[in-house]
Amino acid sequence: MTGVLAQARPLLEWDWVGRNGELLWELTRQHLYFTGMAVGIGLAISLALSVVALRWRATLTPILGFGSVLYTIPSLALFALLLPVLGIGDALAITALVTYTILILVRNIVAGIDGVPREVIEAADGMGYRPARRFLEIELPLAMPVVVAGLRIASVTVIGLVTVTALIGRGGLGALILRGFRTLPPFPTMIVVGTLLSVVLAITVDLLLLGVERALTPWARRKTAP
Amino acid sequence: MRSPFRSRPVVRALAPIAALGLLLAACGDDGDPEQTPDAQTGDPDDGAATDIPDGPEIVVSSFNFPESTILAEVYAQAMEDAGYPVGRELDLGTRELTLPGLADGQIDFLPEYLGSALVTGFGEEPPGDVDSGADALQAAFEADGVTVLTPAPAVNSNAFVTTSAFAEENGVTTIGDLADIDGGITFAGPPECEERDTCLLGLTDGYGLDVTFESIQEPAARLAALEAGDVDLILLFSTDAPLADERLLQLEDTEGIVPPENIVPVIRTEVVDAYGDDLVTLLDEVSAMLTTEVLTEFNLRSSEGLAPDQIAGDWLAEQGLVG
Amino acid sequence: MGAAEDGAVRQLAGDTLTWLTDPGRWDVTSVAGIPFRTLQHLGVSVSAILLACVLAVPLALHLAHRRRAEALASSVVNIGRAIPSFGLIVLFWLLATRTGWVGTQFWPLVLALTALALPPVFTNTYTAVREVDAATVEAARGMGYTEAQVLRRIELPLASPVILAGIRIAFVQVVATTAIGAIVTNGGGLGRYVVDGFARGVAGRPTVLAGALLLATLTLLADGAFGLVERLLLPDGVRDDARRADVANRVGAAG
Repeated sequence: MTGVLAQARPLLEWDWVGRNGELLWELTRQHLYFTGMAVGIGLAISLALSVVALRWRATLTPILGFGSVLYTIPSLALFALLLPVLGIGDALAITALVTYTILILVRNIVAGIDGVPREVIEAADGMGYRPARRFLEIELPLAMPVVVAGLRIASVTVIGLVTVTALIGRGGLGALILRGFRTLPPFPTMIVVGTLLSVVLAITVDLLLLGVERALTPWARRKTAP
Repeated sequence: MRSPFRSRPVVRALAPIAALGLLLAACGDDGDPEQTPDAQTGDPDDGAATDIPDGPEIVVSSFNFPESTILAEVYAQAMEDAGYPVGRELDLGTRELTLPGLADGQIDFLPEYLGSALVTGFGEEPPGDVDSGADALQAAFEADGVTVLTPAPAVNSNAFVTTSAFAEENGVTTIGDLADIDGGITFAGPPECEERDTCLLGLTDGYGLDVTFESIQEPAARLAALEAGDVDLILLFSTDAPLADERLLQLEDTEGIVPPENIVPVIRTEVVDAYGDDLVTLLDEVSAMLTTEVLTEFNLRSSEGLAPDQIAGDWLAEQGLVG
Repeated sequence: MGAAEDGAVRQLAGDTLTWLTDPGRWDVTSVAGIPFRTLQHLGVSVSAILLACVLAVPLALHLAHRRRAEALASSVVNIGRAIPSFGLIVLFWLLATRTGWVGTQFWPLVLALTALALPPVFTNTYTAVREVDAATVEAARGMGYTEAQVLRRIELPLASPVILAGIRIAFVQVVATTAIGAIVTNGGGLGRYVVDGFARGVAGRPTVLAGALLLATLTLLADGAFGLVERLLLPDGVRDDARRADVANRVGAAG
């Protein structure tokens, strides 16, 4: 094409990347901040919901159904729905992101706790553990590998979605993508680097949490080691 | 006796959560993406300027396009350099979002565009000249507790742009010429354009054109639609870099739907009261040096991948306004 | 303060309702109307999911039948989840403006969404075939079925519940993500209301809210409608499997 736009710059200018290390680090940090806040708050809420679901089994299906509806709502719509309540700001971005973690985390926490062997619970009861302490000190630790597996999916999902918060003036690396697209003519390197860094960030966090998952299941590691 | 059994699982249970906490702590408070560390110097406590009276943080804001963000950075860095405490809420959005923010004190400072502020912001008539426009804007802003400073010589106005090929084919040089095209025209502008007198309503009501409006938020996407032949006419800014290309043509506005659009800084009056004339003098000094050529240069550098704070800082240093 | 806010919320709710019930919005001939935008939205989403199925299902069937590329099948869904949809949509738009092959409005968005839908469709199809009872497959071979017949008559029908469950997840994700296209082009269907309303500030809030409600409704309806498709397409015997597969695979990726 011979248009004004087509004669634009190369897709990736390494010297720009070299000159803007500080900016990229700053945006990556912001991206991680939103991810960490969303997954952290999501984990706290999901733990509470899981306790309710485990204590009163009948509530599990409605809780998962609720999480499923939240999960299905488009992120763009969710920002819009929350805007009148929260106004523009970090709280809006983080609250919207939190809602995408609930289904994943509750499902995995409940599955993890359900996977704790019956005899372990009975042993703990026999040693005089009260339910709350048993939950915190026996069941949760044993369920941790499955919970961390859920944390991996939630984190990777949220890292991708943070970029969409660029629409409300946040976005971490998404802000870079938007800036590259918004400037005229566009600056392709920002779009390419913003997208790639977001992928790299997701994979890195996934691998780190995989490491945590492995560390929490030494028995599995022993089994698979040749 | 129970402790070895009990403590380790607890530690394990809490480890990922603790790690997450550490991660958050490391990330600290939310950093504004537009702010690199060297843009944050000028802390009032660094002792650089002791004659600045105590006062509120001046929250500088901008519209959601690069030129506005660069201008906001220019004023912000000039104030920081002089020792004023400055906060940033950049890229806030369209005028429909920034003006309410200014009125309720969420933000304190905004580089405005004179004509659009009057016409779009307050529904006033387009001003005949810069001075009367500034007076009219001051009157309009009075109730919100906002002071209008002296306009800069720099102008950036709405530009109605088509391809040179389309213009030639249809014998078009002015916006009014579009009326002769059978079946009307398709026109792409940002969403807010649809309800503005300086934009779509100017075309339909001012020129009486038969226009099908396409809402395309970003200028690059509008230009792509124009070049692909999806639309006949698009809205750009007169300081946008591609306008220099001979394959594009800015149509002449003979009816004057585009008012004088000088850059004019507006600031909350309580901030002016807190800091006095020195602040106003400083801001006026910056404004006086901003010309249209400077804006075009800003946009060009932005399209070369430079960050707004860097473009602003470089220019201020060149002009000897900071340092 | 509380009362004032309460009043503002009620005002907004009223304005949104007025917006939604305005007959002009439901005018089938208006390009800014809800029917047109809904069709535009579904046109983009359905094109993308069909394209993804055409590309991914045969390949996954083939590879799974041959027991090839196992590592790829397990990792592709994770990598897919890591790709930011917003970045990918802008990137495809950028490439389209440079090549001029596919225009700059409809196809770049469809192709980006196709790319996002490929991983869940591929992995679910692959897993579905691999989970078919090995004894059944061996029995078919013993009865003299060719490899192609084994795939077509045994593996494909038995795997179909899980395959459809995967397509359903991908479809819902695509419908949700289509809205993001409204930031980039004049496509984006119902997402337009959110983006346009947002640009109009306080005055645009009813538009934003109405657009968000329409979007959420369309996405939930798409999910429900696909459930019906599953019921119609699947033979009685495997329908229970479908329900189980659906619950197990609920989480694809959010848009």
